Amino acid sequence: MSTILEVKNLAKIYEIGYIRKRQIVAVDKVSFSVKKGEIISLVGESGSGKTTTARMILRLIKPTSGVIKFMGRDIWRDLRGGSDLRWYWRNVNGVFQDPFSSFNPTHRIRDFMYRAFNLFNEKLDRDTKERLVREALQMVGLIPDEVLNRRPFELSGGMRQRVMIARIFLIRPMLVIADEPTSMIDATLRLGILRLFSKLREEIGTTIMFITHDMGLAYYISDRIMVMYRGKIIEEGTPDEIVNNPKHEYTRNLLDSIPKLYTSWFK
Amino acid sequence: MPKINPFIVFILKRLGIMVLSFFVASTIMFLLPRIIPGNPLAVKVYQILQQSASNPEMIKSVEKMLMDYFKLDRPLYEQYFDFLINLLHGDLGKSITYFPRTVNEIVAMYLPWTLALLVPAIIASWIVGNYVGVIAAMNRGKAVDKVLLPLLAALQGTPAYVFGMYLVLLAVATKWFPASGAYSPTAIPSLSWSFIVDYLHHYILPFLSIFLTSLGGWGLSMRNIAIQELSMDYMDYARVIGISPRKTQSYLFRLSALPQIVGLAIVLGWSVAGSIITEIIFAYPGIGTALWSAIQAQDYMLIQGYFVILIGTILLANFISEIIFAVVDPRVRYAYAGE
Amino acid sequence: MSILTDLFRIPKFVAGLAIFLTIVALGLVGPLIYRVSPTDIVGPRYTPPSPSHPLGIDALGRDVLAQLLYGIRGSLLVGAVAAGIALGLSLFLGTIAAVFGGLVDKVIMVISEVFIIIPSLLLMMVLAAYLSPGARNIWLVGFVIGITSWGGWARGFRSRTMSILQSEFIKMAILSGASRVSIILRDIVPIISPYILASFAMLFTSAITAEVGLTIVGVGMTKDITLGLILYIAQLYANITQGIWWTVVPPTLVMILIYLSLYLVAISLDEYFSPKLGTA
Repeated sequence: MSTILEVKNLAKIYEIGYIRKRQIVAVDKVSFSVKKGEIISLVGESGSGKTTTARMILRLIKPTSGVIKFMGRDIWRDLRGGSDLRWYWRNVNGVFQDPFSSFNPTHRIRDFMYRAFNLFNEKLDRDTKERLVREALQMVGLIPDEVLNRRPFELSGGMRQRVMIARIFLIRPMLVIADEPTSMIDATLRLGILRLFSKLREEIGTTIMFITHDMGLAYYISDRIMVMYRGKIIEEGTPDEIVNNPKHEYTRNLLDSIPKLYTSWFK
Repeated sequence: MPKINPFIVFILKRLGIMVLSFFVASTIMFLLPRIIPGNPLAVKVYQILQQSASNPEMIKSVEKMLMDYFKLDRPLYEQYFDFLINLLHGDLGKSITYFPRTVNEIVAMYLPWTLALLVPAIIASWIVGNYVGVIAAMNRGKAVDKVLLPLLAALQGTPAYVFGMYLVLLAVATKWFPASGAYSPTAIPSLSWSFIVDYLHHYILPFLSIFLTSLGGWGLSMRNIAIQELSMDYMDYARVIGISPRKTQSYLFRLSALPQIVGLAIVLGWSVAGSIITEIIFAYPGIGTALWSAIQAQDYMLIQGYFVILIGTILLANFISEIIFAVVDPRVRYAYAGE
Repeated sequence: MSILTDLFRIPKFVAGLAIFLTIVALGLVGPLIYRVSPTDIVGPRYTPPSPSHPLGIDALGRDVLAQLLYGIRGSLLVGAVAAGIALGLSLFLGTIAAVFGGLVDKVIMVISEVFIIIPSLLLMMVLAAYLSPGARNIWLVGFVIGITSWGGWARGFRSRTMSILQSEFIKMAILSGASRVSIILRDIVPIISPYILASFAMLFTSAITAEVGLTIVGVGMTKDITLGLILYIAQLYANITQGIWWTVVPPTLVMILIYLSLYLVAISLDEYFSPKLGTA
């Protein structure tokens, strides 16, 4: 399998304090790569730097130093102008944790979905756009007529997260960064959301990077797991390697904290 | 990088903004009359020359003064440069209507009257307004607050001069107070007992109109601040451990008064400009009335001089309030100290 | 719309809107019904209110009610022109500063700071004092007030925009390839629209007050009738110290009512929308 994303010595240092500056190292020289078609998880507690890493890969936060290469192009140096950026986001996109704040409260679901057509190079007529949006919503088990004219606050959290994934089905990127996509959803609905990600990989061949604090989830879904702690990746391996033979004490703690019930849910 | 005391950096930044504002304001003052089509300044100077003085000797000297000061025959940049140099030297030129007295002398003549009216009225309204604001906050949603809130809003929304107009109408109707001036036409300003009584008698109405209208602003902002303070945990704590409401109220007053001190400095600076119309209404012999007569007489030198003084006062008050804010507010103070 | 029915359940909002619309109606329709010219000499000066001249006659022998109706119309127009300009400038500069950041933000913030520190009344006086008296009509005075009173509101729009920019949905919009202009127009403006309305209301009343102030000082309106011009004439002929109340009380009362009504509208808009949209 070929590498599509390569991260080298990525670091993000925040300076805080208005008058006397203090440095906080959020991400500390992280390096890894992602291969085409795999599902990889970045596991860590909150404050470990995993979300910052995700945002840097999505090109929403500028790194302090280091390189992120997608398809051989350095995304912070080689991409210039609107069309390069649209190309990047067409190929690398994201699903966020909070299905409540990820929607503009004044927009309808149709507006939300249609906005993604910005990323498309091809000029589509209105009918084609409508058809593509409806197909994408159906892919995630939503009935287009029931949601298209609704505003986000008229939908449940689970439905909103499905709309977010429908957006990914519409864009059909090569790589999806999913930042805690299930953590704010009722436990009973999580499995359904996770199945959509599997479907994404099966039907479109999307590479998926999960960002999560939940080792159980990572174990269940991933081909490969990276454990992040205090801004550094401290351990990397297949789920079985990590679970059966954790090398780092922090990983052991994470494993201990998995509720025993968890595994039985999925089997 | 060498470490500079952050407090000094802060002061320098604010100073920079202040200097820039003064520069912008004086540039506007310089440029406007000169770039408006038809060069109104030249037209006005010419008009003034024709009207200003009756004896020919004086016309000549006024003309010479205006030409020396404005140098309208020279290129614009040279005029501008001279204008700035004069400002920096505090030279505002000479009045046309009061020739040959300087603008500075005339300002010095009117300013004490303005300050004597404004400073006591604003400080009194500050104290009373803060008190009323705390009472409204303590009784939030109750009858007292429901009466006070719209009352304060109405006071704040009413310009001081409208209040002044009503008070003058009242004074005329009831003949309780003299309606205009700072003292009786027959009285001669002095420190005699009878003059002071006469002055105070004239003082009450303009004082009241400024006092009452600024009361609204102080009351409302104090109410907001106090409501925020009341929602803090330590206020609940004070109630739980049984501190009497009267004592809680005095704590609240002291806590919330801090931000209000900053406001006081700003308002004092603004008040000179803000009470121009009130002074006009009461024909009170301060800066405002003087500016009005200068505008009526088209005394350009005086108008320009008053503007410089008013803008200078405001900028200075703003600067001082920011320094006070930094010194008084513990959060800002700790930020300077480092941790 | 459910939002409108909700708003109409707030007594403050209804009362404010009703008073304001009544005043607007007086200014628009009043002169058509009360057909007395505001500039004609209709009787002996200082005739007190009587059935034939409900608000009496002023220092120049003109009908005060006719003056007032035209004055309301003029003042409303000044308010609309000035508030329109100031709102446009502050909204444009405030959102641009927040969205573009960096040098653009710094420059806009310094300019707005200068405009906040320099009292707009003084700037207006300087501007108006040099403009030839014959030219000072509604449009010019409205323009002068407008371009000097946007500073504080630009900062308000900036800080509200900044807080919205933190939202996840803005990041989603960026990931959908939305341009900065699209983010301002489609994401930020709709969300801050209640605040935009409220600020328009406050700019409107402060412009009306500013016109009165400018005109009384002698640097404002000279051509068209406004509330300020009525009061200027009253002050010029010392009506107040002669106890001639009917040229003074009606225009000032209208001023206060405009302020109070729009203040009520503005605070009820803010109280209604701020918690809902999290932009408090």
